[in-house]
Amino acid sequence: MGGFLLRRLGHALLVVLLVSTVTFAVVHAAPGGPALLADPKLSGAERQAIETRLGLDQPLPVQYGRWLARLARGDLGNSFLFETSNVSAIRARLPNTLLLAGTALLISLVVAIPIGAASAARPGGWLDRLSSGFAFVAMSLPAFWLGIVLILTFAVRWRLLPAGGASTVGSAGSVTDRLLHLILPALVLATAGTAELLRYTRASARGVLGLPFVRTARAKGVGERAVRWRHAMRNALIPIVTVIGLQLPRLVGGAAITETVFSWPGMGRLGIEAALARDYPLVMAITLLVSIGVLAFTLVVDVVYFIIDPRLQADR
Amino acid sequence: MTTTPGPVAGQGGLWRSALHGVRARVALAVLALVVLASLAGPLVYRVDPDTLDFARSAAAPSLQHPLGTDESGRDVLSRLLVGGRVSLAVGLAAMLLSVLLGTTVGALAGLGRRWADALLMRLTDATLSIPTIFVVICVLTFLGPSIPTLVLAIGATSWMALARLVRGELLALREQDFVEAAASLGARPLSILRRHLLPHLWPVILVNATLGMASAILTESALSFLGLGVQPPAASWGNMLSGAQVTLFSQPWLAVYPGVLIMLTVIAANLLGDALRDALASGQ
Repeated sequence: MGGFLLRRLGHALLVVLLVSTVTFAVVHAAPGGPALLADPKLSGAERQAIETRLGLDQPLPVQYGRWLARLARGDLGNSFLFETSNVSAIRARLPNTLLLAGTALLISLVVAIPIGAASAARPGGWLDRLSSGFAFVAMSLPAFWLGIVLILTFAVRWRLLPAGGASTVGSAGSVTDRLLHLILPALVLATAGTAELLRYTRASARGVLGLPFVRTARAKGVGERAVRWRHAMRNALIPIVTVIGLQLPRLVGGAAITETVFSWPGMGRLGIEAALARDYPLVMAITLLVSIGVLAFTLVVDVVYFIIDPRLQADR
Repeated sequence: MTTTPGPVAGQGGLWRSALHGVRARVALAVLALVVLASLAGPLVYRVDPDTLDFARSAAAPSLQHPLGTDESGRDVLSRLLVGGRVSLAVGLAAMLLSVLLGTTVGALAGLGRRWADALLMRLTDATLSIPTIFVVICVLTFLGPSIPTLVLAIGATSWMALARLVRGELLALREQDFVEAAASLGARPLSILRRHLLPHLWPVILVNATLGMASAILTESALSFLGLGVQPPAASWGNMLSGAQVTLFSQPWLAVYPGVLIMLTVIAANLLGDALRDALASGQ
């Protein structure tokens, strides 16, 4: 047990080190060096002073070591676009992204898993045809276009829902108000993920439903409902959790586009604003943070697998 | 999924069994039609796609402009045809780059020494764990948005799934007798890869390429929305769609045409990739 988990932890740490090295390289390779120096109004002497203060006159390996040490203390550097530390710029936006991405993920799960399971039980049935048709269309829609069409339909034409933002400006931000603002962006963000999850759930459930233990359960007289959910889906869900883990970075990436369409004040839009403004330190801080989040999630999933699937313990 | 050893069915067999289904045939027909229209269309329909005519901006379909004009009075049909070339070319080139990178990384990891495998797979994990859209935007703001930089940015951030698949296939294949036989006959590693292993990899690569092209076309349209796609006045379906936002309610057709073409192409490519994958799975 210890060996397997230790190896996984080692992998994750190595990956974080890789990502942080690349982010360090990008921040340094950016034109004009670190963003602070990009200001053309600086004189040579001022530039020198800043370089000394920031330790930029040190050899590269020393700078890299200091950068890692700062990272380990939770210091992600400074944004020149917002003139604050990256941590505080991100902290202001992160809750909104977690709310949006979390809601979208919840919608995906609630829709995709029951429908995927039901489709797998009757392949070729009306539900299966309908849901796989939906999945193909949903996967093939440009997300920003779906967002704009929904805004124009529900916000501009029918005036049912707000067009953007996370809450009405000037209001205290009641729960209902916030929920109304959440509906459209969450639906748009959930669309592609739901389609993918639907297809994986169906494929995984189909695979499990064909296994001998399911036939055994049926032969013993277990009801169809119990066979499907308690026996088959419990096993089918294992690979699905991995797919969810792999969706996380795209959930944040997709959130970036969705947040931009809906002017949602989240971290994804922050990343796009920063990238467009060439605020490389901030972009890299966000990238690193998402990467660490994804790896932590994957690690947790590995541990959970290990606990629920005895086959793994025998293997290793 | 691992490949069965022994004789290779080859691409021909895979295509034949994939095209048994109706869906795959329809998908292939749609793709062929889109490609043909983009390639041959501008030769037949010779209206200049860049002529501005503000007197007739956003005009409804007419005899002179069969699909109407856009917000600057340019002929929509000719822009769709020319834009199709650009969108398909970007999708195709980005897909080729991602296939090349994915196969190379997968082959080096699957056939190389253990440390190379470990390093390359951690690199793959690392790339999979980051939201690649930010990286793409950084590359495009750094190098400036153009068709080659778009291809580079999209291709360089979409190779990871194929790398993993190719590595997995090769790890299984390298233990097979025919590989050992070739090696003991004195074949060099590169020639073993080319003559004995690559034929087994083609099906996986083909499926991945089809799906990759679909996603590259979608990525280009998302980048157009951010102003980083193919740059106007050159037309692409992505920038036509994003240009049509302004007039979505007064002239909805301007958004419908490129939107429908993107959807049709992407759905067809996805369907084809799916049929190929099914054929691959059932053939083993």
